[in-house]
Amino acid sequence: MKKTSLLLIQTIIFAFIFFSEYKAQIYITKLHDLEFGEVFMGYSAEVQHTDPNAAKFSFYHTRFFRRTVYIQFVLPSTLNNGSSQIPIIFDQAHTAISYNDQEDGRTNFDPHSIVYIRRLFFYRTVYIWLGGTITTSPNMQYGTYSGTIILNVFY
Amino acid sequence: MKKYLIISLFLASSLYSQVIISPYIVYMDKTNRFGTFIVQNKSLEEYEVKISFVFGYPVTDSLGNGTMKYIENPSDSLPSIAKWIRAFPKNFVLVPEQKQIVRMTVRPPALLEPGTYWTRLVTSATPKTPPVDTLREGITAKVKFVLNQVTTVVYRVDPATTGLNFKNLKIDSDSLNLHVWVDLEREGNSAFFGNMTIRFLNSYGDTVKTDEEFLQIYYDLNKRIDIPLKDFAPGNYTAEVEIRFNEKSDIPESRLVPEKYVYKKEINFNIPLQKQ
Repeated sequence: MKKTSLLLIQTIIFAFIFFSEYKAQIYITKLHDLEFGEVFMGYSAEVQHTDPNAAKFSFYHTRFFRRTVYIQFVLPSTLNNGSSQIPIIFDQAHTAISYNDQEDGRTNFDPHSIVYIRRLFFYRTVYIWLGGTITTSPNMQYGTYSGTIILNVFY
Repeated sequence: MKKYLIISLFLASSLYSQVIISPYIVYMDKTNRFGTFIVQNKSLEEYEVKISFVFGYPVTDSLGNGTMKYIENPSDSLPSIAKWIRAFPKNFVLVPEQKQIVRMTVRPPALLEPGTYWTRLVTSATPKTPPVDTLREGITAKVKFVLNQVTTVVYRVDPATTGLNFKNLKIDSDSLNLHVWVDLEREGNSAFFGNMTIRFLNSYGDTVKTDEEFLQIYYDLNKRIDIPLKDFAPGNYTAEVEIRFNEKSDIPESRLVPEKYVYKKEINFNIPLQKQ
């Protein structure tokens, strides 16, 4: 009975490794967009990486053992509503990465440079948070201002 | 309990993910000029997907940091198939849980030197969003995301060869980390894919730490691997670096056989590290 259980566990582990090798993928999930919400005209608005309105991603890979993953953000300098624009600033203080989905233990990084995650263990989840700062002027047009961030993932 | 853990690992791969692609290396050769890959929408949103190609490969700078080098218009001397490859469909929309098979065909020139040619395949996924409202009072601001997943398409012309010249192994440190410098030069006419294992042995020959990494060497690479100094007690150590050819794990169709499967070097050092 014990031998059969051991054989079954070994078979499952072997199948898991085999499956991981040949179906290796990276799973990236956007958990939240970056939202500034209602902004008072003439004031600036800031979203810290710890704010629930910060953009949030998670990712992991399934290639057996370890893999190096490169991540790069292409960031806009303005948000627009079709006719007007709001400047937006991204910086290291508003950007963080961690292996845990919690505030403690996050590491800040420069969102303008390539993030290089070495030897990421398979199925180990990495979290990224991205905040920013916008400044509005008193005579701006009403409306919803939006922008696009491109997230490049290389593997 | 173990059974549930393993099953949950399998299930975790399909939960909470977004647009995923498989495989991340597509292989083609002279006898098989057609390749496919699958794009799946595992999210709850509708996505617009766009396929494009660009030539590029990983490089390292003088500090050993890795980055991707892209060349928009590669010259004919570079092993790029970006100009010769076509994908169908190139643009499509995926509703939640829908998948799309993308077919690719490569039409290289008739006379092509032996070797491995490649391109980076960019799968760009943009969530479909409602139009921007310009009529409401007040200002709201939101930033959305486009996800670009960059994978590889390989086209091989036989006789393809590969190998490594393990040029140098060096160790230094800063206040926090031990740096292992691995200087590699690719040989042959094809990229080298393999696993690198670094073993640290103490003066009794016992392994005190092991580090593993997957390597893709398209050209030369001078890698720096950082190991926290706090992992080493004062004493004498040997670092053994072993690189083992392992292309099959990324390209199951590959029949490429290098002249040597294993490349090895070792170096002795002391902690605290003595400046040379």
